[in-house]
Amino acid sequence: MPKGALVVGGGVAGVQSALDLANAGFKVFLVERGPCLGGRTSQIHKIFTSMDCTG
Amino acid sequence: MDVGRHPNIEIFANSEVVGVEGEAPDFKVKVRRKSTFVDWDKCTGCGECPTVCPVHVNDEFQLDLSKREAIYRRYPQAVPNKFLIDKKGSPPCRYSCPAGVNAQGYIALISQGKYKEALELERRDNPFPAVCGRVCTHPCESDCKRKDVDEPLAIAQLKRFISDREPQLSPANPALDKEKVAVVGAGPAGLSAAYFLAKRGYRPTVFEATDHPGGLLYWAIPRFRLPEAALMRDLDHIKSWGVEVRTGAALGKDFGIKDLFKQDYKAIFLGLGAAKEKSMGIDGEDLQGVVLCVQFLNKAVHDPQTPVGKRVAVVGGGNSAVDAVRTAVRLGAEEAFIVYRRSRQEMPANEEEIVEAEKEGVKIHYLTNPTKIFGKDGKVTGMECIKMKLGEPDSSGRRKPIPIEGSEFTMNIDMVIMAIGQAADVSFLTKEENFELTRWGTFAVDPDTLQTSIPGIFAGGDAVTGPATVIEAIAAGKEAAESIDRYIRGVDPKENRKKKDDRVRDEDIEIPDDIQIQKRTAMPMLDPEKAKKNFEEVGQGFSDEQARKESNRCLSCAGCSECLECVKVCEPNAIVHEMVDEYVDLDVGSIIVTTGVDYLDPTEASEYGYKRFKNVYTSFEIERIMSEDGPTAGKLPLGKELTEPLSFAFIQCVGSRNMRHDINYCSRICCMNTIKDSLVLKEHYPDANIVVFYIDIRAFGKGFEEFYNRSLEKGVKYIKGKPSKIIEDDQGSLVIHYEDEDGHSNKMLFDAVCLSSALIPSKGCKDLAEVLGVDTDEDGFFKNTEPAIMPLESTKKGILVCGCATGPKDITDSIAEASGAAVKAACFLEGHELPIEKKEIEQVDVSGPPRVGVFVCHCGPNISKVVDVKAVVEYAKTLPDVVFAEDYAFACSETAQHQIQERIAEYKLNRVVVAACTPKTHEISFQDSLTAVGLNPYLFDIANIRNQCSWVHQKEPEKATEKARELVRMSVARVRKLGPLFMKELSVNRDVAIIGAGITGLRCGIDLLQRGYKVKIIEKKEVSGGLVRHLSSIYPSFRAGKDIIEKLIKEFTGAGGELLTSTELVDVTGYVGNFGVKVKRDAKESEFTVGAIVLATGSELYDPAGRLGRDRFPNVITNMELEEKILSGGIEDVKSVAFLQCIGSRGDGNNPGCSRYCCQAAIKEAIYLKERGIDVAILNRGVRVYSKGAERMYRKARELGVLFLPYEGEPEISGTDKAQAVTVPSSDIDADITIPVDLVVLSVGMVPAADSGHLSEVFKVPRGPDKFFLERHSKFGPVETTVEGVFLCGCCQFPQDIGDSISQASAVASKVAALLSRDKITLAPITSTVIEEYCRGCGRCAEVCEFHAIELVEKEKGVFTAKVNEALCKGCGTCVAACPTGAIDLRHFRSEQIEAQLEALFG
Repeated sequence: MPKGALVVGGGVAGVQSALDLANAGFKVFLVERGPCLGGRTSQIHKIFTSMDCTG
Repeated sequence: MDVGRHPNIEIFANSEVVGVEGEAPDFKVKVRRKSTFVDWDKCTGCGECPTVCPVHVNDEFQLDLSKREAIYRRYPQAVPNKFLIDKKGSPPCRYSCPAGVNAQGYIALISQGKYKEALELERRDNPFPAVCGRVCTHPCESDCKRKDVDEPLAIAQLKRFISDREPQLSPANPALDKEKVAVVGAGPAGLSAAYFLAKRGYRPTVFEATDHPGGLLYWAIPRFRLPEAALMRDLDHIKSWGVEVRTGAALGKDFGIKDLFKQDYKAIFLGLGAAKEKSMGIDGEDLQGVVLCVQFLNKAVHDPQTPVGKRVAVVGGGNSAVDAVRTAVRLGAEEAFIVYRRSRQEMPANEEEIVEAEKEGVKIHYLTNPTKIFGKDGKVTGMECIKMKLGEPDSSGRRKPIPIEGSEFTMNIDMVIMAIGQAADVSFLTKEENFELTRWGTFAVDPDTLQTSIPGIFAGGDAVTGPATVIEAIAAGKEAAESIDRYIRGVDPKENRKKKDDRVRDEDIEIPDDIQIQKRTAMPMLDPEKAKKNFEEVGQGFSDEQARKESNRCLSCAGCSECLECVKVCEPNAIVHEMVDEYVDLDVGSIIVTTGVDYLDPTEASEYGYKRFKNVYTSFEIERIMSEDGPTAGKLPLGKELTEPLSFAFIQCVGSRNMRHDINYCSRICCMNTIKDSLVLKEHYPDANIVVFYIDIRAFGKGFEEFYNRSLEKGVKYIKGKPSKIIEDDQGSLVIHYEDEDGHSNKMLFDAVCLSSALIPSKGCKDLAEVLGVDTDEDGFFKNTEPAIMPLESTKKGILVCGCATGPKDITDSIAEASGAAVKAACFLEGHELPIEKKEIEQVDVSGPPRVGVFVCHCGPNISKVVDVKAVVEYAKTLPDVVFAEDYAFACSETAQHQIQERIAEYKLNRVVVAACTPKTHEISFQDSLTAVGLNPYLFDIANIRNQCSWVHQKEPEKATEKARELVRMSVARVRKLGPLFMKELSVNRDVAIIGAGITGLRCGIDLLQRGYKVKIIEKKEVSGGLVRHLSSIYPSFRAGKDIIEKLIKEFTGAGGELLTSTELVDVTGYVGNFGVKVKRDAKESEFTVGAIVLATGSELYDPAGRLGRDRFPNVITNMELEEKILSGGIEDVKSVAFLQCIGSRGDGNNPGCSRYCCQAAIKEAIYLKERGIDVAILNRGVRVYSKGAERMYRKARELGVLFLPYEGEPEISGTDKAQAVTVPSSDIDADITIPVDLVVLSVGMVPAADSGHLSEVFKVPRGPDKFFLERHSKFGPVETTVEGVFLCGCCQFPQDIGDSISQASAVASKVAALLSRDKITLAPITSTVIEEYCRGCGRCAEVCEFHAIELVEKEKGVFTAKVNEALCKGCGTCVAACPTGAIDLRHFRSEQIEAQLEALFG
């Protein structure tokens, strides 16, 4: 496996870090304790102040 | 591209970091991939498995407010979109069963009425359900967790129910083709061994000495407990697997061990039982009328005329004794009783049997032991007994009975049945073979494998253990079958044989708080008076209704019950119940920690009644409840009808800023969250009366103040103060007790209350910190090197921390930090960029007539349950140019995609239609499949026959099928008109220009230099460093601003950065990757090219000129001037200072927003002054301190005696030549407050820089209503603009404190680095194109294009035409709609293509 960066936690922050690194051409290992990504944000109904959905 | 599909990202979900070794950039990381019990390479996420799962557990995604199945995915859009099973271990019932029978599993199936499946499951572990349902000692019930609630489940009765209820299904043609195995003894052990061997394909023969199989089950258990028919059902079923039983064949008499081997039996199992009955060895045992129990039962079971005494004593306390005494009653004994030497508590017989015996008139003499039997004429006439008492526990764990001297008495009897046990006697075998025996005369066997001292010969059951239970014998048979299988295959007999210590932990068992007490269902019994007169079965068994009711009492202790129903319905065979955890080793250069937060459980704040009162919720629960996909589909589950408008209260700071909970920080998001929730509630309940109890409303972010104001306009009421308690009244209303602003106790009634509970470090944060070797801070979050200057660096090099892992923050700030951490992590990966692979693939020639292939997806049952997929396929074949059509269970699966590729080649397809789900889900992966075989990916279309058809027309399958046909017809019509499109590439200049050399610009520049990019910073002023340069110190390090700036400048120039001071930006041309930047210095213009531009132009401070005595009094200064005064020394004579907050912020001075920095800055300064003996008052409109450590600083200031006085309205500064007093209208009391001062500090807000309008025009970057630059997305794109290649960070976007600005600076560096990491930028080919002959040059297209991609060019004098810059065009199509002459078309969505679709629909 190529050398890469490890991101621990797959909430919005972890996903953002992973995407930035991957988009810059690096291998990323994204480790999430739960069964899927999204963290707390996925449980939020609407976000202030835009009132967008998180889905 | 999304994270789930990014080729560079490998997702380890359901995984944990368990070990980290080494230093940056060479970390070795060990990751544990926890079992999901579903093979994710195979799972298609079809959603079929939960439909058959009988187990319902709390749904953590819905915060336990609703239930989900044990096999689940968190939510329908989850990434990865895979199912998994949570297993907590072995349920107590299963764990305590010697044979490991899956009771929770069959009970779950019974609860669903799946009796056949329940019986099948039972028989996986136990071939004797009818027997065990009646006679088992059921250790499962003893350990059943339900006993902690009321009573254990009637597990054995349920087992009996399914075995009685269901027809005994035989396996279909058992094909036994493996070796022959001999089993000696047709008792439960031998038959079980044979059964499990036959199930594995071996050919077992059971040799039985008597003339009937069943052992003691047949010969010694009375029919009123175990009717012959029930036993025969189990025996017949065992035989149906191909088990051959030879009766009348006694080992040692009719044949020997050697004979068996000679007859080619490869292994032998000896299940010889314990046939030798014990007697007490007391005087008189030889008298007529003294019989041994099993001998008695042997006879009586088969002959109801068996003679019996008139007064019968049965000696013993086991099930046999109870069987014997009840048999004696039925045979006509006038009196039959039990003599037992211990007490009822120690009696080994099943409780229900003892109860029934007593009902039948049986007496039990406890603590009584025979000492002598006497008689007359050789016949029994009496028995002498002695009374016993209980001593210390003996080796069996039961208290040892001790005779009480002198307590002898006699009883008159004429029959004694000795039921004191049996013993194994296998000594007769040692004559032939040299078996090793124990001192009890049983076989000595390996405890794990049950192999005797002779290889290939195994033994189990009573002949090994001595007299034991049926279920233990079954367990032995099962284990022996496993050993024999391994022996014959030559596999390690010992591996993984020890019983796993996997009983589910008691604390993991979910017992609902509101569980109803419901006693165990009693089984109907024959009337004892009638029962005791015959041998009919006493227990009558459960009815369907009783069984369902009883099964519903199960607590599903283990979560998944392993009933295996999911396995049956999983088409791709993805479910693997035996899966074990895996470990993966990774080489990493750097680590980013983003472990987030948890919510404080407000049960700890017991005064608010959370969990005690139904309608007290947490803010996070409200979040789920108000969601349409939440547990109550967006409605409050009040549990009562509302007669008046809803009244709803929010209580802020539950836990946060609260020393009682040891939480010394602000949770930063709750105020905004509450404001949002109040607005959402207002949408659902427009008349609702909503009250927010708060300490400070901290609406400090961009647009937050306006959002707060919106809630005020909507009528949300805000009451300052913290409620003391909540009480629930008789009607279920919640009474909040609070102190009003005048200090009076008050109360208010609400239907529901939401507690804004604090955000706390996520569970496991400490453990992870230990694994990583980094520190946590005093609040338990990950520690950063320095909150303001190095917010993203942990205490260990190469490990970055961001988002809520370092403390609560909102999505915007988390996202910015996450990007910032990424650029820092990248610095440790130099030289490890992944090569960009480009394969040359021969392109399919598409110039000929269309040859369309149509591929229709079942999507598991998602489509095919409703739409007749085969009919759609047949229909597709009839459409013009369609040369091939077929269907797939899952078109998106790898296998199907391969097949599609093969079909493309085989049928020379040059157009492809997939009828499946939405293009949003899988369009890219299908396009990739086309690309891989050389077919242009734009010659493809998706017909959405799932989301837009089968899902929404579930009740009308015929019409849905018709619609699917139409959708396919339209897609085929469109795809025939599509042409190939090609990606365009632009070369990229890899230099970067940053506008502004404040702390943000410098930080961004340094980060980019470290990533290897060339950076120029353009600063219009002579001196760089922005506002920070002028700060006397920054919190919390108290380092001087100037020092920090000088260090950054040195770092920037030292790394090769160009700092162009006194330089003005003149103009910018071009587009992403190729911007031309024109600058001017000393009237000299120069120009250079860059690939990306960063706006770090900062903001300005509000100028309070003409207000607040500013022009009249020299001692009215701004906070920035105070900083300078502190630096230069000018406060020596000051005795008292008043800070006036929010000058030029929050609506003051036309600046709508909060300036975010000023409260914290004022407190920092106040502490400095107070520590020098100066009196300080901070006149505020709510204290907004939210950064890491700021709440501590605020507390310190109060402890030092800094006065915090809330005010409203315009302050008045009075004095003669100097300001001497400040008078403010107080917001707390109904009076003005006047404070004598000798220095007034105006905390001035941050306002957009004067030249921001000019810059906005130059860069085409829009500004928001507050005139700060507008980011691409307030949450998910905080540092990007709508202009590709132009980024922003720091205070030009909105006021920030230093830490947040620094994070944004790094975030921009990350975005720029990603953009410029490639040599070329590819442009998607779906862009607008102008048909010049139709274009009148009206310019409407250019007006509506928000990407500034269209301009008017003069093609000849006075004649204009629109021109699309493809580098800027996003293919949105707005211009097409705006063009009055039809002169603009959008590639891939050309008019003729859409028209063809419509024509196909309407004809």
